[in-house]
Amino acid sequence: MDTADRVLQWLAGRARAAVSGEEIARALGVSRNSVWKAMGRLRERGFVIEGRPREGYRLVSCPDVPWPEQVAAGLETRLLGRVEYVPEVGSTNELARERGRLGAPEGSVVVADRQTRGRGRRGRTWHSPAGLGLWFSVLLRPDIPPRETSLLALLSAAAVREAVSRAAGVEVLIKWPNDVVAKDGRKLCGILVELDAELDRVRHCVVGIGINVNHSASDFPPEVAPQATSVRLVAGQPVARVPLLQRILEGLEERYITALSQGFGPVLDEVRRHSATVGRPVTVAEADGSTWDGLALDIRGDGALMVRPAGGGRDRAVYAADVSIRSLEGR
Amino acid sequence: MDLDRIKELIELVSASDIAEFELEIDDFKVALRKFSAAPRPVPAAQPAEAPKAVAHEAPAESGPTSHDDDRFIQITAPMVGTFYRAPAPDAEPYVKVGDVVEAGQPLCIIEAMKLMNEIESEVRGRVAQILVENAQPVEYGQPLFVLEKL
Repeated sequence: MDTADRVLQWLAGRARAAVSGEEIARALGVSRNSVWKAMGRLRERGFVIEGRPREGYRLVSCPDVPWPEQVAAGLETRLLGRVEYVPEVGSTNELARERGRLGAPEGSVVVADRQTRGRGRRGRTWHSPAGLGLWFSVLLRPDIPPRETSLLALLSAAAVREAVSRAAGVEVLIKWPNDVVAKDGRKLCGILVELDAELDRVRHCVVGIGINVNHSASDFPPEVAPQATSVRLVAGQPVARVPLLQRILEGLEERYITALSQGFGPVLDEVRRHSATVGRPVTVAEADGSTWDGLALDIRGDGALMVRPAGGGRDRAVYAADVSIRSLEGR
Repeated sequence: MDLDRIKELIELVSASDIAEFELEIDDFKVALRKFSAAPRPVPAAQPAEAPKAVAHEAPAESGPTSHDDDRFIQITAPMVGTFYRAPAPDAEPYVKVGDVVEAGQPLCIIEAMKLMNEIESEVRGRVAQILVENAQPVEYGQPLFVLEKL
């Protein structure tokens, strides 16, 4: 930790009361000049620090950047939240998987301000510019059979949905399996879970979450703009990223611990209650390119979407396909 | 490869649920096709109740003389989902028939509900057979690959 970080910690610990440069210098065992230099560096990083003669320095506000110390302050979790922050990374999932392979503990979180190769399913890209979103991955090591881990994707969406609804003051929904969407169907969060498992045991599971937080409409690339939105656009005002991340981690932990002890029943009920998909006419685009229409009936206990084909025949369980909600198209 | 080996192979394939089998070693090639084999039905998407065995060696019913059955190993699906041979639609497949793979090397991806499970080889071996078409649904426990251990 460099002097600037130590000074920041000291200032933050003083509950935003003024503290003299001399006192800080003495406490940290550095010169007054290096305290003064540290203040300059902190201000460059976006911290607002008031300095008054005779009174001293006072921390007025912190930049809304998910640095580990910012996320840790006021985070009420036991398991999740060993945060590693990187200004820029190819993909937080890749970095978290690497950390997982090297033995990082459960609950480790990798956050980036910007992803250069943010990924969606099947090699699709996820636009992840600096300063606007939350791009992070959580490392889990659940003691459950690999075949049940796909329910973690739904569970993560439930945690994000609740935290975003509260932060925005507007209800958002889950589009099966795990997109979080505004009422009009525009997407504001994508989740991609990657599993590293032995035959019958999970080594680790990385839950990658990308949330468009403070994007304006013009911040989206033209190819995604028609289907994309952000928490800010839904809320009608900017939303702080750090508290949103904290609430998501707390909600994720709570549901995760419940699922491990009581099963996925409670979280599946929550997903059904807030589903944008259930009860709607849908088009199912299968992985092999074929498509068919139907009515989304329910989300089954194993997470599959039950769809009644429009052309007749038995209800079908959908596990992996692009399911679009027809009534929300062509807005 | 001598006649006895080929007989063993035929017995091995007969005893398994493999419909077709091809093996190529240097300039020798053998292709086996089960006459009775009906086209594989499209698996009805059913969860968990499938056979418990996640991976098992090819059945050793080809007679007490054979020790070669151990050479072949089946890789089965650890979960219900969609089988992909490549990490992205425009990417090269992870493996092709005849490829030599190391233990821990990815063979395919199975996706369910946006969870991506990269299936790794348990052994060093040669890919003898790929049993599922790209982008098709697979059931829990369904055989995906036959590997010849090296």
